[in-house]
Parts: sequence; C-alpha cells; structure tokens
Amino acid sequence: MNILDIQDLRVRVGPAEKQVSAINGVTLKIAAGEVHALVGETGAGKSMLAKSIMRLLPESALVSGKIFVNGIDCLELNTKEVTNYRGSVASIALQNPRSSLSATRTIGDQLVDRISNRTKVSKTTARLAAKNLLESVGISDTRRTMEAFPHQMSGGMCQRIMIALAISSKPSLLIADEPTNSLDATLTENILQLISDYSKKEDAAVLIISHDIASVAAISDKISVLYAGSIVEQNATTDLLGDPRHPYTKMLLDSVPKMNGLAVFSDLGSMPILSDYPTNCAFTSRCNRATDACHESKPALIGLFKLHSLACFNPLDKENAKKQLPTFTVTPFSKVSTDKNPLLSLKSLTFIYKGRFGSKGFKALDNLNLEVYEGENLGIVGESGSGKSTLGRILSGLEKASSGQVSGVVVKLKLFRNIFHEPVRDDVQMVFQDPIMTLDPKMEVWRSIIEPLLRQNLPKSSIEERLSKIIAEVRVDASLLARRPRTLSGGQAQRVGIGRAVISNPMIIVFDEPTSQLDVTTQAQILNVIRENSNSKTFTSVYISHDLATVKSICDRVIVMYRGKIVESGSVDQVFNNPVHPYTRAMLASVRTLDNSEAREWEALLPEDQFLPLQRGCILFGRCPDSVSACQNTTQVLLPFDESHLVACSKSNPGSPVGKSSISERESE
Amino acid sequence: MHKLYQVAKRTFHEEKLVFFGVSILTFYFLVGLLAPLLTHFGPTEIDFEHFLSAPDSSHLLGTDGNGMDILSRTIYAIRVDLLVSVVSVSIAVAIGIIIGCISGYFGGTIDTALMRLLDIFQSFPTFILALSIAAILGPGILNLIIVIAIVNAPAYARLVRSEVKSIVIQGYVDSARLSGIKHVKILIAHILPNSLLPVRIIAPLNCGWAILTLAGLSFLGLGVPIPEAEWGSMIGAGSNDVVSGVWWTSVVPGVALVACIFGFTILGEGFQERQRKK
Repeated sequence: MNILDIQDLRVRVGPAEKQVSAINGVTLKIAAGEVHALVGETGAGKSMLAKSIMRLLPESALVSGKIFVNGIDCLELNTKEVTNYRGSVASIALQNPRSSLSATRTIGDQLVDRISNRTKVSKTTARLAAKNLLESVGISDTRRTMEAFPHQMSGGMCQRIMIALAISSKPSLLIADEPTNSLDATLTENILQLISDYSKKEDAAVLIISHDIASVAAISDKISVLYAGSIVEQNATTDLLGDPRHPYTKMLLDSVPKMNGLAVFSDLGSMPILSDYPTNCAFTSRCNRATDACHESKPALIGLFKLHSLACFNPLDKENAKKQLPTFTVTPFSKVSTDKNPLLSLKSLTFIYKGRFGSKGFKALDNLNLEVYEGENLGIVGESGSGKSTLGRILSGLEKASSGQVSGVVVKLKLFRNIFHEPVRDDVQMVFQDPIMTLDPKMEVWRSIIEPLLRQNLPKSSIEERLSKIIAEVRVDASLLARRPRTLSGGQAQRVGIGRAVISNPMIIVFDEPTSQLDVTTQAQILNVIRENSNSKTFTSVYISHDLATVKSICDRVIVMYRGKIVESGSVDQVFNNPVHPYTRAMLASVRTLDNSEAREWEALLPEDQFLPLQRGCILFGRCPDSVSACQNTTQVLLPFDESHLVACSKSNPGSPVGKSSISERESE
Repeated sequence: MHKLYQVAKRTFHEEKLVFFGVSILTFYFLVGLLAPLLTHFGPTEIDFEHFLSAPDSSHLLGTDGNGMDILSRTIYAIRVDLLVSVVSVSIAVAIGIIIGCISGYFGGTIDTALMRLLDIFQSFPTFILALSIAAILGPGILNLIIVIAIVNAPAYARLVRSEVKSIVIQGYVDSARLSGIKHVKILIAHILPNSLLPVRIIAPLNCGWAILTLAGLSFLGLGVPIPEAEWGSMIGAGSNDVVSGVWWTSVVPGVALVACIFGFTILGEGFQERQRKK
C-alpha cells in the first residue's frame, strides 16, 4: 500500500513579479516500509516538496495537484486537522537540527511537550516515554541529555534528538530533510541507520532528502532525481547507480568524487530558476543530447521497466550509461621532495582558544609538528573540531600560535591584527569555505579579484591584463566582473575566490574546505579548476577537507588529524590504501562513495561520550575498538611505520619502539 | 526637478515612513532657513504693548511674558535645535566609529581598555551625565553640542564595535590581510561600508532624542542662554503660566518639538523597515 501518493503537484511561490515555479508536476509514490531518497542540487525544489507534504508552505504559495498521506488528502485539511496531521500522520526532521530545536528549553522539556500534546498522559509517563525515545535513537546517557540544552550537544546529537522528536508519535510518513548535512562521515552512517531502522520497525514510509547521493544510496530502496522541480529519473537504488539513463543522473553520478581516483565530470552550466511551468525540458541548456523535441516540449515521467521511470526523449543507452571517465593520474608524492628544505616547518605548535573569566580554554592544536615541502599537495583530513582549520590559519599566518615555532622559507607571516604591525605578506593565499561570504558584499567582483595585486603598485594596464588572463583560467565569465557577490551562485563565487588566490602567483595556497557548501556538480567544477591551476602553476597547496574522496583525488600527501594532533601521515597511497591508525581506519570504513558502498573490514569507532572528560594518555582512548588499558596512560607520538608513513599508535605500529619500552611514558602536562 | 518628483512618488508608494519623515524634516529645514521671510517679529524683539497676549491678528500665536512673539520664537528655534541635534549626533557618530573600529578590529588589550572607558561614561544615566557636563562647561550652543556628542558617542562605539567584531572574522577581511593590505585601508575599504547599517537606523532616532536632551537642559536653565529662542527654554519659561490659563507660551513650542522628534523617529523606523524588507 502506498503511504505517500503525490499526484501532479505544482507549486509556485514568491511575490507576483518575482514568482518562482518551484515544483513542476511531481508524481511520487512511497510504499509502507520503503526508504525513498530524493536527490538534486540546491534549488531543485527538494525542501519545497517536503514543505508541501507537511503543509508548511507560505500562505501565498499557489499549489495544485493532490497529496495523499495514508489516504488523507492533506491539501484539503483545515487548520485544526493539520495540527493533528503533522506529527501523527506525517512528520519531518528539519534541516539544521541545532537551530531547529528551541534554544531556551531543555531537550527533555521539548520531548515531553511533543509527547503530552498528542496523548493525554501524566508528566511522569511522558518523561519515561521521552527517555525511551532517546534510547531508541542511540543516546545512552538519557538522564543528562534530558537536562541539556541544544547548544550543549554536538551536531550529531542534535540530529538524533530531531529524529526522536519526529518519530515521537509514530508517524506513518517520516521526512528527513538533509539529515546528514554538515555531519562527519562517521556520524552520517549512524544517523542514516537510525532512519532506516525506524522504517523497518514501524513499517513506515521514509522520504530522505539529500544533495549527497553517495551517502543516501547505502540505505535507500529507491531514488528519485529531481531537477528544476521535476523528477527526471526514478529507479531502485542499485539500478539507478549502476545504470543511469537520464543524462542528468549520469552527470550527477559522474560528479561525485570517487575513492578510486576516477576523474570527476564537470560542466559550467547551472540549474535554471523557472518563473513559470516549463514548456520544454529544463535540462536542455546543459544537455549534449538535446534535440529539437527537447526544446519544444517537456518530457513526461514514464514508467519503463519494473521500478524504473524516466523523463527524457533521448535517454542514454546501456553502453553510455556504464561509460566511465578516464582515471585521473595522481602525481605520486616522491621521496625526493622531502630531502629538500621545507617551505614551512612547524615545531611543537600549540594553539589554545583562550577561555574567559578563569575557564581553561580549548586546545585546538596540541604539540604539533609538520613540514610543508615545495610543490607538494598536502591534504589535511579530520572531523569537525579536529583543529584542521586552525592549522590552516596558522600556516597562512592569519593566526598566531600560542606556543611553538613556525619557520622556513616563508617566515614573514605576520598578519595578525596588531595595531603596531601592518600585515606583512609573503605569498600565501587562502580559499575559504563559504564562497559568497568570502567576498566583500559591497565590492564588485573584479575589485575583489585584483586586491592581492594592489600592494605591488603595478600599472593599470598590466593589472587588467592579469585579470583577463586569470578569469579565463578559473572560468569566470567576464560578464560577472561588474556584479556584487550576493548575486553570484556558490560555484561562481568560489571560482572568483580561487581567481583572487592565484592572481598574485603565491607560493602557498591554503584551501579550507572549498567545496563543502557546494552541490556535487558545482564541487566537480571547482575541483577541476583547482586541479588545472595546480598543474599549470607552481604553488604548493594545502587542502583541508573532511571529504576523503576529494582529498584523495587532489592531494599527494595527507595528514589525518584528531583532536588537535596528527594521528597518521604519509602519501595518499599509504594512508588510504594501508591505514594503520584505528581512527584512520574507522574514518575510511565509514566513507560511502558510489564505488565502494560495501562495508570495509575495519571497525567503526565507539560512539563518543558527550559528557566524558578528556582522558589523559591516548586521545582516542574510550572510542578506540582496539584500546588496551595501557593506552590510557600513554601519550602517543608520531613514529615511522615505514619510511615516510608515520603513525601515532603504539599498538597498531609494531615497528615503533614505543610498543615495548616507552609505553609507560606519562603525559607531562 | 522631474527626477526628484519621480523619487518622491516612488518613496510615497513604497516607503511611507521614509516619505513622511523626510517631508516633515524638509518642512522644518525650509521654515528654519526662511525664518526672516516668514515672521514679522524678530525672535528677541519685545512688543511693549503686548505682554502675555492671547493669539490674535497681530501676534498669530500670542506673546510671552516678555512680550516676544511666540510664532517667531518657535520658528527661529528650529535653527538652534536642528543645528545642535544634527551636528552633535554627527560628531557622536564620528567618535563612535573611530573608537568602535579600533576596538573591534584590533581587539585584545586596546579593546578592553576602550570598553572600560566607555563603561565609566555609560554607568551614569545619560541625562544626569549631560547635566553635569553642561554644568561644568556652562551654557552656550557650542558647549551643548559637545555635551550631547559626548553622551551619545559611547552607544555608537559599542554598536560599531559589535558590528566590526562580526565582520572582522569574515573571509574577505582575512583575504585582504593575506593580500598585505594595510589596517587603515582594510578598515575603510571593507569594514566600514559593511558595518554602518545599524548606525544609519539609529542616527535619525538619536537626532530626535538629542533635541529632547537639549530641550531638557534648556528647560532646567543649563542650555541656550535665555533670550535666545529654543523650544526647551520656551517651554520652561511658559510652564509657570499654564495654571493661569496661558497655554500658548508652552504648548506651541511643545507641539513644534514633538512634531520634529516625530519626523526623526519615523525616518529612523523607515530605514529599519527598508532593511527588514531586504
């Protein structure tokens, strides 16, 4: 039986003169016990669809079509019925859980509210039910969690609580809007498992909305691909991934970075924002198979074979669907380069975010040693909070280390805000995470790009010459130059960001998660621009990311960070194909990419206990599946596993002398 | 002229608050500017035949106890009140921007020192502080401007500081630093243009309050010296007569004062509205 049945849904939102046709004829059915993933780029109408089902659209929205949930025509419900419908029939786990939870009330109060609203039960019963709910979403310390406020919880915990709220009254349809957005790989897996468990246990329909096709693929039964408000292809997950027939599906899949080093496909197109119900296929402008028919009429979604539906006049044939892009050859990290003097070397570097009024502060980097060599592409990976961004800021000179020293060829790194020192720059540039906020909102794009040249007092003509050369290299259209950043798309803005970073021919460029806020297709564009530029220019790059696949495709040496320390370092090949440290292994095991969705043999980490104080000894103690009692008292140091491959784990690194003798070395703090 | 009309028409339809705010203030400005043409009497000219006379054909809004024309005095007072409020608020904004930028941009010890200094100023109720500084400096328009600027500056400094603090961590400031741009240039090119928005909303409101402060000081005799026309001192002088039924000496300047503050207030709210719409 179909729990959710959407028939030709069309939604238009916005004021009359700037109307956006967000959903253009979506027909979708989800059966009981089915996990259905809806994927698409930003602006495809994914969240708008969820809002339509939950009746959360603004009053002014123009809606036509039918949405049946459990046989209830939800668009016809009156205000009172909607209140009952939300939560008990259909329920949603909203995007950005931390800001979607009330900041001023404890988790317990919010859950109890939700439970006692539906069923008239005593407060004690409701609290008990709330505790059970928390347990069912995998939170063990329910007593303390009930008393905690959302800001005290990590992003993963908030997402669990959000799901607990959504399933509190056992809805027959659960919608999860970007449930794994901005979560680390290790957490992503747990959260998705929770959602899929709920569907199996309660025989409920689940709609997962995501832009990350790789992660949802692991748990979904079917996938629908949404483009400009229309479903273009729908199929059982394995068939869709292995045999995509719509050119857009193929493009989407090809854009996902792979662990096996396959090149990512990219084009410079972007999804149109429609103002009216389209009369043609919205994908035509980016499609190389488009014919006259595609320009003239909109293809309907037609059921083909078994679960497969497709909306395309010229679908790919089987051969094309399987065609893979050529393998990208990574320049191997050669031992030779380490013999040279490093460009930058950090010695026993510690960075502490100062606490106020007597609080101890937070140690973001802890006694860290690192060398950056000329010409290399160094990757820094780790989960959020591991200190990788702080390290990037110290490497670029924007932040001053609390202790330790920075030396090397680039020593004039004094960019801190000090009234007695003007910024002294020596050829380090940075590309930041949020591309639009990185450009001054009041400045035209071209001014932003040429800013690094201003210091050199070049004549106007040569600046103009450089500008036109650079914008061609980073594929920024000249028509964008006079615009303000707010009117750019994320991808355009990030290309501008890269343009301004490379224009002054810097020695080092630090990329701080440059693609983490972008869609996969846009990410592919950016990665290709970065790769082309690093091939044609001579800069050394430091690439910070939590996405292992992109690091693997771009870097030649990699360091893995955990809680401010380097736990493993070596060439990409060494670290990714022969990981030694339990943390690296767990991280790699949790990666879901399209080409290795089967689980690796390595064990996952134990869940992090929110309230456990920091242990002495090994930083991973308590989470490490292999830990022995000796680990609790041993400070781990980076020691060679083989030649250039360093690991900070005495247990997994038998080659190191630490395994035997210095195990009793105490942390001297 | 045609363009002005177009802009006015558009503002009237889309931003009523801004339109009426600007209209009221323009009216005051023009009346104040053209004061000699609009009045028969000088602001301090004494008519020995009319003391405390009710509004009639010779004195449209009556005269006060000294035989001075209330209408003329109310009109000439616009010059003093608008001048003091606008100039003092501008100075306060300038001081606030400088302190706020230095404090928010450099942070650390400089920030702490400046903020503690502002704490000292802000620990007094505004009006009491104005009163004491005015008492020290003595009456006079220039002194009043200084007093009102000093009492208002700390609020701007804090406002600008908090804005600067949130802008300083933005990527474009880091990019500018990486490009070796000098501090002053970063402040002027990147930080100021992006941090002045709340100032633009508060400043017009503040002009209204400044007039109120000025009127308050004058009412208490610490403001503009007596024969000079000023709304606050006029209300102060006339307030004693209200009980005996002579209302015009205080009500007329009072209405002028309220309407002017109203103009500033709705202008400020109009700016706020405009921001909210964006």
